[in-house]
Amino acid sequence: MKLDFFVNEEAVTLETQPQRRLLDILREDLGLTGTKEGCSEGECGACTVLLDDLAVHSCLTLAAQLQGRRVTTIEGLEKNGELDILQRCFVEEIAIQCGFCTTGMIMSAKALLLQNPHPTPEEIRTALSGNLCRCSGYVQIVKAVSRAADEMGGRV
Amino acid sequence: MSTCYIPKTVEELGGALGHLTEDSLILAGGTDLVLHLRAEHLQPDVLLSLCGVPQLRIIEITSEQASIGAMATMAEIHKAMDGLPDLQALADAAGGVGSPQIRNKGTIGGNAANASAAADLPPVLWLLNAQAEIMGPGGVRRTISVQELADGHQGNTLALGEVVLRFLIDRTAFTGWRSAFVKLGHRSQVTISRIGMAMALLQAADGTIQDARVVAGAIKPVPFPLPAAEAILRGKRPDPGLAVELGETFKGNTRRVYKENAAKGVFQDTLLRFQP
Ligand SMILES: Cc1cc2nc3c(=O)[nH]c(=O)nc-3n(C[C@H](O)[C@H](O)[C@H](O)COP(=O)(O)OP(=O)(O)OC[C@H]3O[C@@H](n4cnc5c(N)ncnc54)[C@H](O)[C@@H]3O)c2cc1C
Ligand code: FES
Ligand code: FES
Repeated sequence: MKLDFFVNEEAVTLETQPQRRLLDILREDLGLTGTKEGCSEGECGACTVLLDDLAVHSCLTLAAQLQGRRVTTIEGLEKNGELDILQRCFVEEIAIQCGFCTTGMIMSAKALLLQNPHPTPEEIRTALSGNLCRCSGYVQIVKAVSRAADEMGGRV
Repeated sequence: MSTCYIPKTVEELGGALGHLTEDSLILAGGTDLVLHLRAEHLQPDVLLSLCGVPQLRIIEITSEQASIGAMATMAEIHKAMDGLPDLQALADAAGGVGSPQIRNKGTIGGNAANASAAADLPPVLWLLNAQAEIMGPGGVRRTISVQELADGHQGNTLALGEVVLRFLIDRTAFTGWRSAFVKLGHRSQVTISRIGMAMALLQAADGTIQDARVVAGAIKPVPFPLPAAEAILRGKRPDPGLAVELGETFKGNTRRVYKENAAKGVFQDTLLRFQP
C-alpha cells in the first residue's frame, strides 16, 4: 500500500505492507532507532510513540492504521538542537539507568503533559503505568516528570 | 501480499465487506489482533482497517439513549461516561482496561468481538442490556442483543463480512439507577480481570434497594447474571456487610475456590461504590 503520514511534523510517503508495524517502519525504514522494542506485545511500553498526540504502542500499530495521521517519536522532541525540558529533566534527575525504557517513558510523559500540564504524582504514576523499568524504582522518573511540569509552567 | 481496504464512510465500508473471505481480517485498534497476527503468522488475503471511518467513533448520549460507535476507544468511553450514574459501570470498565497506551487504541468493538472471557466491557454491556447494530456486505443491517453477539466459547456470532457499527443502551430503562464495575486482578493497574463485577442498583431516597442487577465476568467463557445476588440485595441497603452472603452466590459457578472467596471482597468493594 502507499502510506502517506507525518513523522515528527514531516510528511512521509512509503510503499509498504499494510500489516507492517509502525515500530519497524520507524526503526528500519526511517532509521529512527530511538523507539525501542522490548516485549513486542503491548506489555512493556518501550515502543511508545505519540499518534495524534496520544501515547500508543508502535509494536501494536500497523501501517493500515496510519494513513494521514501524525506520529511523534523521541527524535521529534528536540527543537533547534535543544533537548525538550522532559529530556533534560530525565538527565538531571538521573531518571535513566540503562536507558532502554527511557524513550517510551518520556513519550508517555509527553502525552500526559500535553493533556494535563499540572499533573499530581498519582496522575503521573497512572500515565506511566504502561511503561516498565527494570533498573530504577520509578522514584526519579516520577520526580523528573514532576519537575518538567513545574519548569514548563503550563507550556508544553 | 494482502489487499488493504481503508474505507472512509459507512457506505464504502458496506462495499468493502463484500470482498472479505475466510482468510480476511478486520482491524480496529489492533491491540488484540496484532498479537494473533504475529503469533500465528497470519497472511490475510484482505486486511480491512476500520480506522478511516470517523462515524464509527462517535459517542452520542441523550437522556433516552447512549450510542457508542464500535471504534470508540476505551479512553474516549471513559471520558464520555464518567459521572453519568446509570452508565458509570461502563466508564469504570473502560477506564480500567490495560494501560493508557491500550486505552488510547483498544476499542469497544474489538473488546466485544474478540470476546475473551477476561474482557472487561462485556459484563457491563450485559448489565445494561446493550444492543449491537451490525452491518454486513452491501450495507445490510441488523440489531441483536450483546448476549446474542457472544457465541458462548470466547468468540462472536458475526457472519462472514459482518461488523459491529455501534452499541446502543436504552437509558429510559435505567432512569434513577446507578451502576459500577469493579475488577479483581493480580495488581491494581494494567491487569487482567480474574473477576469482573458489574452491578446496577435502583435505590429509594433512604438508600433501600428497590431493584438490582448483577453480572459477573471473567469466571465463565461469557458473563453471567447472578439472580440470587440480586434477590439478596432487594429491600436492603448496600451495606458492605452483605458481601459474605453475596459471595456465597458464586458457589457452583466457578471451579476455582479462590474466586469463590475473592468474590466476597469484590462484592464488598462494589457495594462501597453505592454509599451515599
Ligand atoms: C497489554 C494489554 C493489556 C490489555 N488489558 C486488557 C484489559 O485490562 N481488559 C480488557 O478487556 N482487555 C485488555 N486487553 C485486550 C484488548 O486491548 C481489548 O480487548 C481491546 O478492546 C481490543 O480492541 P481493539 O480495537 O484493539 O481490537 P482489535 O485487536 O483490532 O480486534 C480484535 C478482534 O475483534 C475484531 N473486531 C474489531 N472491531 C470489530 C468490529 N467493529 N466488528 C467486528 N469485529 C471487530 C477483529 O477482527 C479482531 O478479531 C489488553 C491487551 C493488551 C495487549
Ligand atoms: S515493545 Fe511494544 S510494548 Fe513492549
Ligand atoms: S533504565 Fe533500564 S529499564 Fe529503565
